[in-house]
Amino acid sequence: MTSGFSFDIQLLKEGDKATYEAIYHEFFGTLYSLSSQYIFKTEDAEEIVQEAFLKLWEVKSRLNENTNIKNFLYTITKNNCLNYIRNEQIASFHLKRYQDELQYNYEALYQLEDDYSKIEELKLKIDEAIDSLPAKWKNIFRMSREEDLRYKDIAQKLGISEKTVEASITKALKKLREELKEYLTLISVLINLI
Amino acid sequence: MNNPIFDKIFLKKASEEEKEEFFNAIRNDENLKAEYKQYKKLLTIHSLDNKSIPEDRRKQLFAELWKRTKKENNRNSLLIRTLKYAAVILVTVGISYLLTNHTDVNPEHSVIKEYRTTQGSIATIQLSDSSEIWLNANSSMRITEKKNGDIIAVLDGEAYFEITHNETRSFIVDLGKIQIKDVGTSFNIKAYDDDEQIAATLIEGRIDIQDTTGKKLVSMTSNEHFRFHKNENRFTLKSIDTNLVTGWKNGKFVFLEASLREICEELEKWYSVEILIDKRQNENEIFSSVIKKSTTIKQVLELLKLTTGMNYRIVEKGDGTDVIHLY
Repeated sequence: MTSGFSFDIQLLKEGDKATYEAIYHEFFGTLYSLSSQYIFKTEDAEEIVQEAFLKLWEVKSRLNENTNIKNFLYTITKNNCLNYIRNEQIASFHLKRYQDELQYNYEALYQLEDDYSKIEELKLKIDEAIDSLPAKWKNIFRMSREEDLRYKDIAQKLGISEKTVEASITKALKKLREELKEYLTLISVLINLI
Repeated sequence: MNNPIFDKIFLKKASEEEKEEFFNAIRNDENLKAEYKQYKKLLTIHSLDNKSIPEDRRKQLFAELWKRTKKENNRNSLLIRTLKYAAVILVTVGISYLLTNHTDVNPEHSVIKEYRTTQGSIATIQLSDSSEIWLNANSSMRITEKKNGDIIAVLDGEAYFEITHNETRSFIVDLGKIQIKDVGTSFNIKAYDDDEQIAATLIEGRIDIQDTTGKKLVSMTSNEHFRFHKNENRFTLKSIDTNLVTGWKNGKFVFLEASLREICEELEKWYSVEILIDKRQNENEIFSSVIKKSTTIKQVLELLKLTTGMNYRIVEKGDGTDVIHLY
């Protein structure tokens, strides 16, 4: 999971800045990844995470040895994102197309597992699936999703046509879908059990 | 799903038009919708990592955060701020200040002021102690400030109150059969004379509901909603989501389990139109929704059509008033 991060909860409870800061640096990125998936204004996505950490500070005296800090921060961030989407929905009530996307995003986020360790398991599976892609596709896929390059730029970098790039990505996604099909059904089964 | 736009959306390469086309296409297909959401989740999980923000920026953000932990009041959260900001924008649309400002001074040296709003506007009233009152459309209020500082407000209509807490004076809203005594609060009162019910919602603080002799009937705490049924002389009290109830203050229609008839009455008041509901429609059907008041009547009708399936026809009369038929 994480690189063996640990801290002294007692110090956090007492308001030790260094401990608080260490926790911040350890978890901020992940939480921000989450909020920026659902909140498109950078400042707001950052602010949501800031507020999660503020909340942690607010309740620090009530923490104990058993508190899962990561889960705590994740839950607050997730809930704040849900509230934010709700407000967006009210504010943009007349923009129909936007309403659809907001509603689906809301529901998708709502259904995201409550327990962060489950999410980490799923992430491992997804990463494995991507890893098992044929090298050619894997590279193109990574450039597109992770480096956020346009098809044109990828084509240029690799000396192939844009059409080839598009075709590779479509094929890669198709393969991923097949690989993850059982996990898709797993997720829907889990949801139905709740 | 074999839709090519689907892939593009997940690679964040879809244009706005393509997205619109896509969402239109899946709107009526439950399976495709479910599949979309599954992918959204998988995508989210796949994107989670700790490298999403440069170290410098993170350090800067922590410095800002640390400063904020030092401050006492951190209730100024993003959500409250965005709602307030929205309020500033929306309230400036359609505000009408003090249409009649009638000041009387009576022998006992209290000051009486009257305020009235028309259809399609709201007024804000500031009292000398910086308490604020928002008066909704088609409402009137008479405020008497007695020499000893006590304030009595007689309301016919709907108003939202943010009253400064002041131990030395009482603030009472007189609604005929009952009175509402403030104890330092924010609350919303809906008491149109021709309505059968009086509704009060407490946002923050505490208020007492008392009868005309000053005897206390019930105390309300925050997020409670009180309804008094005038004809039956009884009241109900329940917990509620207050953003819904005071939405009108921020320039929105808010219907919380309102009947079609009630909704049309509100729309008639705000837009100065007449709405006729065809007998075949059930005017007692219940809806809940939130609509910005700056929306045109046409957009509202479209919205009603979408949500209730009702159709409409606008008939323009020669004298400039419109009649809307709902069927």
